[in-house]
Amino acid sequence: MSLADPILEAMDKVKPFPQVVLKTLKLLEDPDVPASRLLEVIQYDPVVTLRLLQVCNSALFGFRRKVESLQQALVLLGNQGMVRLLVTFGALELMRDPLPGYGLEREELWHHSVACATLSQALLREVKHPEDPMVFTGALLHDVGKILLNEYAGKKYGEISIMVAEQQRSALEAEREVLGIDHAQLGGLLGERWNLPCSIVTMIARHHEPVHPRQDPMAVCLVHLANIMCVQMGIGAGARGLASRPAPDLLRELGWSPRTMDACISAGWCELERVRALMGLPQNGRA
Amino acid sequence: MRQRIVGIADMQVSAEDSEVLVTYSLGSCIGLAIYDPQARVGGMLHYMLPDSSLDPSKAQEKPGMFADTGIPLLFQAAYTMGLQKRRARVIVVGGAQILDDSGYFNIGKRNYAMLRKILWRNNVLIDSEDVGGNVNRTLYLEVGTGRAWVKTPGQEMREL
Repeated sequence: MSLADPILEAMDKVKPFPQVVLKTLKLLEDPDVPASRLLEVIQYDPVVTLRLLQVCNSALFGFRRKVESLQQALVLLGNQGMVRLLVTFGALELMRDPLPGYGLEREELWHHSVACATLSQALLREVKHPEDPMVFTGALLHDVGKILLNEYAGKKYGEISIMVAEQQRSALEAEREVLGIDHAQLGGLLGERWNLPCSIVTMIARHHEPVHPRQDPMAVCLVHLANIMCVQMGIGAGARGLASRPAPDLLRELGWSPRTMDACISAGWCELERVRALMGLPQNGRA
Repeated sequence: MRQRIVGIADMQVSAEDSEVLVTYSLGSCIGLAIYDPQARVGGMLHYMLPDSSLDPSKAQEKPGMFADTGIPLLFQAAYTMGLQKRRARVIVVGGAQILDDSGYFNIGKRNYAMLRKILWRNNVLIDSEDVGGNVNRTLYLEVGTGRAWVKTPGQEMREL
């Protein structure tokens, strides 16, 4: 019997995504949205406002003057910088708990997600794609389906692990076969329910299986690559380790060499260390 | 025993008997542990990429990121604490890769090849290793005894 039906019913139990973040993301779909519109939305959330000001006043930003208002923060960070910080806070709230069904320790999914998001920005620069705040968010939320699927993946932990270890199946293929649904599909459905922008839902739902850079939006391909690279490095690889399959021919289509990937990994890693410091997380902790 | 964590692109050396050096999340990265049983000095490096010519300024800022800058630095740091090369036990863990036949995602293999080259040039032999495959690993080194262990998900700890 497929577990897909009870899993879909359990979608109601997942914590909602913070409203303030959803609203700002919606506004950013219009690249010319005035900063004042973002301010209107954020200012009514005192917790988020306080957190933003704390981060802006941390030594890392090195702003010379004390940042005392949301308006000043927005001027200094820019619309996109502000939203990046907001989604990163939002994701931390969702992704803090350990996910034993995936062999992930506390905050490990968050680390993996932030690593993907920062790496996606390095990839974006490499393909000379225009800056797109949705790619950062899509990369940050790509594994959100794991939060819900954790319980079921835990119940079938042995079965999935054996399929991966003995039959050379990818973790995704094994999960889909055993549970009747995989975390990418489920994450896409969750994104729809949260009313996330359509482009982000597609990045989540297809992050394991973009077909072709000419058929899929570039954003989906980049989130796929960022995820594969993080898993490869062991960042949030969890119980099923490196049992992930890259989309065939994607790198050849993009005209990349292994050295291009090394350069992106190095750039993404340095940015990740900066974000960790920003969030007050230890530099030397588990990645 | 107190754990001293070696982060990614990081390196630690210790002569504290009560410490265990540990590095997590070794996928395609390589964990290199060295130990001198007479001096009771241990060191561990967790590097990500083979070749620092990719970005020399980053290599200067973060030498533990690359094999060719991190490995010499690890040995030098351990020498200052009394480790001698001829007595050193060398343990290598990691260098895994994803399910890819295209060869594009072979950082693990390239990381390992660079290590072999550097160690060979410097007349250093590997005493024990657990490399390759599709698993991520954790490496431990007890500074008091020099015993080293590897852990993979779903498996018991294994002594190297």
